[in-house]
Amino acid sequence: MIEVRGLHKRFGDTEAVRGVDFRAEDGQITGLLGPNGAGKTTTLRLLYGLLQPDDGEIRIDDEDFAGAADRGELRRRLGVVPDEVGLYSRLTVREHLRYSGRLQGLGGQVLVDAIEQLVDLFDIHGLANRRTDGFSHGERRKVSLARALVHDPRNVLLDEPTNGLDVMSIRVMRRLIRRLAERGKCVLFSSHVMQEVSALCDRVVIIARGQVVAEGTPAELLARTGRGSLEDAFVDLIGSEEGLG
Amino acid sequence: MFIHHVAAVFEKELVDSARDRRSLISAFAYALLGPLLVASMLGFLADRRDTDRLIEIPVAGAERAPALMEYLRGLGASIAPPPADIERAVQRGDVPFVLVVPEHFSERYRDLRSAPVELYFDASRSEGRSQRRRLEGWIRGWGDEVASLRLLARGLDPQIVRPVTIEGRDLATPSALGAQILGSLPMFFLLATFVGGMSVAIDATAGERERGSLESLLAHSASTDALAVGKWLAVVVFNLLGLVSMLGISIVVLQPERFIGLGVAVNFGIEQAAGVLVLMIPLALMVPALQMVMAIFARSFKEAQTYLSLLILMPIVPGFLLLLEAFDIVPWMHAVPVLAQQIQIVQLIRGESISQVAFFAGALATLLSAVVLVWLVGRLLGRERIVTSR
Repeated sequence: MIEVRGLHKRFGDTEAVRGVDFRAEDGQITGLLGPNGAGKTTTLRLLYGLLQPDDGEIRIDDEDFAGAADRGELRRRLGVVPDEVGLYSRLTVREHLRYSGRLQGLGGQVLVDAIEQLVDLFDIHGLANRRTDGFSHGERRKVSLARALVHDPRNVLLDEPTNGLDVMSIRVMRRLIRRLAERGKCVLFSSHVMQEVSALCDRVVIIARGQVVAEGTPAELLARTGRGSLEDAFVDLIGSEEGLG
Repeated sequence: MFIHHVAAVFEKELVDSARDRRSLISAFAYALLGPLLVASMLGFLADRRDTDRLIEIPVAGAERAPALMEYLRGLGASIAPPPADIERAVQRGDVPFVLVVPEHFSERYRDLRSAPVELYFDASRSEGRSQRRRLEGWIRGWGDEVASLRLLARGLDPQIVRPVTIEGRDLATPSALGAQILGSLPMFFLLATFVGGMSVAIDATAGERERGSLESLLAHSASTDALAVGKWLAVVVFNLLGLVSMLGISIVVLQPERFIGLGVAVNFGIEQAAGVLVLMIPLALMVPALQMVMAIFARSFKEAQTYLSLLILMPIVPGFLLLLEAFDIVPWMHAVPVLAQQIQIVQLIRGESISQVAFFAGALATLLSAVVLVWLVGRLLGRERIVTSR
């Protein structure tokens, strides 16, 4: 469970996040939808403590973590997949998983089992012992998601997880994300793509110019705006078409 | 947990770098280059100096000038049969030169007329040039001797025909040159600590930023301090590997018996190597931390490489001044990292003794700097602006 209240973050003169509130439940997929530059990535980075909020409250599994000195505990509860895939081209997939596991404090047989479960779950037996140099974009995204799950976190943050993928890879990625929610995890992901959100999400949080402009199930958002498609509803809700990159 | 995280980072960086050609080259190519350069320059000098060595002279028509041949053998030369095609053999460089005694030599010699010998050589080739000059000198020497005998036989003093003699006093003796070349060894050892781990240092900092892996690395529960320490240790390992292999190669290529003709004592054995290692270890711990602090501000491998290449100038400038004895060594210099090691390693190689106080002052100051710099790496890794800007 992830809960955010009154989150603020300023970079120099620009206020990237200006009072974001939302709640993402366990067992659900919550989509952070907004145009480019709306503050989605900054919000996620504040959530996992890469950035320090200027103000606001962050609660993970009903514990307060804003400004907490111990990032370690916060991050053990989160699996983070940043926008940048960022793999090490000279390491194999198993070595990536092992590295992430050890950095999350795992070791021994627990870690070995965790790695094998992920290899099964992601169906990457053929790739597992290959160095990631030369992997396709889809394969790289898979590895980056897999390593974020090695410590079996209750909450998963994904920043634009299907960015740049082809149709087949997108379907695989969606199936994996759904599987996580079915297992009772709280999945929060950001996207600027409407279809992505409508295809996956139980709840949608629409962000524009650093603020939440609407929150609800896709059906609720349609009802509220009286529009036929989510795309029209989205344009209505963010108040203009210009922010739509 | 801290140690667990440090170990994870350390292992990963070691494996990653061991598979990286760039890292291996920076650790080992330089280690090879320095000592080989010094050894080959010394070897070249020793060759030039080595007048006692037997030279082999291919001679055509040796039987026509038995006295000359006897004289040359007496000087330590050996007379060899000439190649079949003299001109081609010389042009192709098969032999450096061929001495030809023409048919009319004996006749003219007997008649007390100037008797020619022909020396075939290729002036565009440098090999054998010094041997050729020596041979020419010997033949001239034999001529002088014969002339003296002929004059004496006629009751004249040979000095009449030698109104002036030149006695060379070459001050650039091979020994002095050799000492200068040997004097560059400390600089090579010092620079090894700047080169050995350079690529790993860059890859672990600017490299993470360039490939976009820094953000996901920081999303783990390991603290930035643990990341900094693990990465730093891996760089230190490469640095030390480079330094140790350089010392090992130096022991092998600088064996004193190879430079006997040089007139300068080349004395670099296990004992000296161990001394250098002890002296350099604090530096091998500090320089990687300094390199990481600088490289972390770079967004790409190339940018970082530019910064770190400039950093290499840091020991070179005082090194040269030291070599030129441009300043006096005062006590506080022994407590300045890099400078202290520079002064002390020169003393060590020269065989002078280093005071314990000076050694510990330098080592402690350097180690303290290393600790501060590693701490700084930890701070910088977590800095918002460094993670978010690419």
